[in-house]
Amino acid sequence: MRLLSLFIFVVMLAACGESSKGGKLPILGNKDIVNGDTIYHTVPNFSFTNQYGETVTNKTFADKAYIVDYFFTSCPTICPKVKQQQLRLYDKYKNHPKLSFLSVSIDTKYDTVERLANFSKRLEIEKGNWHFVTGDKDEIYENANGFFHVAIENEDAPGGYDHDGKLVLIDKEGHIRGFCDGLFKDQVDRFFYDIENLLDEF
Amino acid sequence: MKNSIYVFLLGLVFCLSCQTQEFEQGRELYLFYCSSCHLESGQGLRSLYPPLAESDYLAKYNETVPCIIRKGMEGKIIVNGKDYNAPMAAMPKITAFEITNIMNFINKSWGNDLPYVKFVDVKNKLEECK
Ligand code: HEC
Repeated sequence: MRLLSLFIFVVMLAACGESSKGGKLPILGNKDIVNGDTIYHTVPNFSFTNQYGETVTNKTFADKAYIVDYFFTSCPTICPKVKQQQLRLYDKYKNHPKLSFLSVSIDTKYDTVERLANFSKRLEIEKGNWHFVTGDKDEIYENANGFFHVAIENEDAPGGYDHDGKLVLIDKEGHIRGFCDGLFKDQVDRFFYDIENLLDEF
Repeated sequence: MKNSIYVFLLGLVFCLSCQTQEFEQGRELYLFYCSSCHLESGQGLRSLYPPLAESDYLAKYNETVPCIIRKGMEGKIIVNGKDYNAPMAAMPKITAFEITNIMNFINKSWGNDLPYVKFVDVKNKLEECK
């Protein structure tokens, strides 16, 4: 019996260590010191078109935190799993005034506004908090790193593109404050705490 | 006393997990080729990916499933009263052997109780898919 409680205690300790509960989330990425001021990494400027044909830019999220992922609708491997996890986040925050979702398609040829609209409709997304976007191909690929994402065209990869399943959390100043691998449920479980933590700053 | 209950429960868990290992290969192949869309328990995802668990479409068109897997499918379909319309990509390299294993796993999982399929039938069917 005493062993059992010791075991539970150790498990609890380990669980605490994993999530950075309490305290502000760090600002991630490279920092520069200019004239004694620290300049943090901010995400690049962008201008996309969403599934409703509307323009989406950094300004769209001027007073909001948002979660960015890179995907494509015909992705046969990781994207559907990531979408399954994102839907858990979406279901919790779909009506939240301070949190949005931005899913950037890296298949600019195939993923037209129409296809994105069908995809979003079939995921049963209500108009508002989740933007599925397309845009200029070079801009999307060049900006990927600035969002902590990887996007590479590769004939040999499943579906024709190499990319990752990360979900990246960005604050209203454009700073990256957290991320997780959207393929793994336990990472997403922890990501909920990061999001709550960031929303507490508003 | 407590300990023996734990041992018993642990044993029970092992036993239960053994019983579901019948279509081990089919299960592995399903997880590799299909589960990203139709998900781990064949439940599908919203109105985007249709379910394979207790799907009336799967039951009705079971003999065309080899072609669906090999050639993919698109256009509107109705599964359990709900409409779906998104392309499922073709899998040109998947073998008749793999398809047989996957189908036997699906046909007997998650509440499905559809007939076993035979390798020769799958192979013959694949030759006539358009
Ligand atoms: C990239 C995502 C994706 C993958 C991977 C995938 N499917 Fe599908 N599947 C779909 C979509 C989307 C449809 C609906 C097609 C339509 O609307 O015409 C579908 C439809 C089906 C159907 C008919 C409808 C039903 O639910 O009964 C069957 C059977 C099926 N898939 C079996 C499989 C099997 C077996 C595999 C693995 C070998 C597989 N699929 C892999 C996306 C996928």
